[in-house]
Amino acid sequence: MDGIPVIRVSQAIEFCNSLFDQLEFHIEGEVANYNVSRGKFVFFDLKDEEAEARLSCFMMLHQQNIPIEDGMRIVVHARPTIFTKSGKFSLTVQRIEPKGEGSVKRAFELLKAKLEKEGLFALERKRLLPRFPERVGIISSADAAGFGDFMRIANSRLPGVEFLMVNVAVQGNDAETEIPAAFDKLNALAGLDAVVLIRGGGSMEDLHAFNSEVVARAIVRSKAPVLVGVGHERDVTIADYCADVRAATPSNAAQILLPSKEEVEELVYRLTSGGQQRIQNYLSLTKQKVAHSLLSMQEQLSFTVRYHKERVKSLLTTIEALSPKNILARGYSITCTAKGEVLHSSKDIRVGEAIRTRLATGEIESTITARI
Amino acid sequence: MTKESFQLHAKISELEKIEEFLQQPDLNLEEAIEKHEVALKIAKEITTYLEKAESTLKQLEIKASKAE
Repeated sequence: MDGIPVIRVSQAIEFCNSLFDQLEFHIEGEVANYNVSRGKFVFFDLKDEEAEARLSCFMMLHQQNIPIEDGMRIVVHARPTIFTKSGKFSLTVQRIEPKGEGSVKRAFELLKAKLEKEGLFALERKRLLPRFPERVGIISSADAAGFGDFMRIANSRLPGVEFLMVNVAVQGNDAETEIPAAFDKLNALAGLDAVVLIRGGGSMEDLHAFNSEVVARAIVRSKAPVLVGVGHERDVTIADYCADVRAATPSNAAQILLPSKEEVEELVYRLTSGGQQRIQNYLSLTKQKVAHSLLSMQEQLSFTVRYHKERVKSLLTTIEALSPKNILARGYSITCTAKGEVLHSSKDIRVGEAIRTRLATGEIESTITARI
Repeated sequence: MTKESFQLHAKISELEKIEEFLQQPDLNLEEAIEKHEVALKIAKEITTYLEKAESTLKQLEIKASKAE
């Protein structure tokens, strides 16, 4: 024998896979037979039409970073694998990149359609930015021109705003992981009024992260409303569609986020003059109310005085009429027995008894000589 | 020192009692005359008090109209 040991099939596959583990290929080709199995396994072929060659590819659906379809040219980052049970040689894909302008645009359209269907761009989901934000999170690269533009404009507008900057890569593969991580970091902070995602202009490839699903979902997950100011006015990314508010450029983001000093002054003037008018109205209304209650109180008091005057007058009239003094003054007299009892009838006195008669002024005493 | 307030209702009530007293059939003459004199005094007090109140109200009305 030649000294080569005989091994089992499974051992051979295991040995080959251990060698393949050290390899990573970036392979360009055209997608064919794209298929998702049981909602989690993705299978497709990568074709090289010129050489009439093809490779089977496999990846988990949750790892598929861009949507693809048959006919798209892509570059896969993958490792070769032999599946133990089937013995099939396949590429296990970690990442996909669209290749060529057509594929980049197609990947963009596919992702846009997918996220739109899920409702990530829905207007009902959009939140308003506060008029006078106090604490604002910024996700950008400190070296980016766009960040500089944003800060220059922001510093010339509403003063006193606290900015919390999270420095991230805004292009390249790292951007796709660092931007969502920055959102998570800001989500952990309390009291943020808004988050601004900024990047200056660049090619479609430079803006790749802003067209990725992970960044789109991070924007939607943000606890604070998100303002996206990426690229130039003509660049519309998936991030723009997901944003609560979209700015055309980083400078425009600063203008949207913060009112100018003149706008603040005008608002303060309007509010204070409006306030003065309201206070004036309140004062004159209160004065009217006080005057009205004073008047009705005075009327009530006058009525009470008049009522009591009338009552006293009426009582006095009755008292005057009943007063024995006044009766005597009119010429009448009152006769009493010697004991002082008022005589009402001649039957109550006998001949010879003494009586006393009271007149208006003075009294007289008499003796009864006869009863008539 | 607090100024003793005028008891308007009590005074009117006194007058009413005198009126009631004078309406009795068997009056004590002396007492009736005495009550009559008391009634006149009370009526005068009440009238003075009410006239003063009326004049105060008029002054307040003038002040209020000037303030407007």
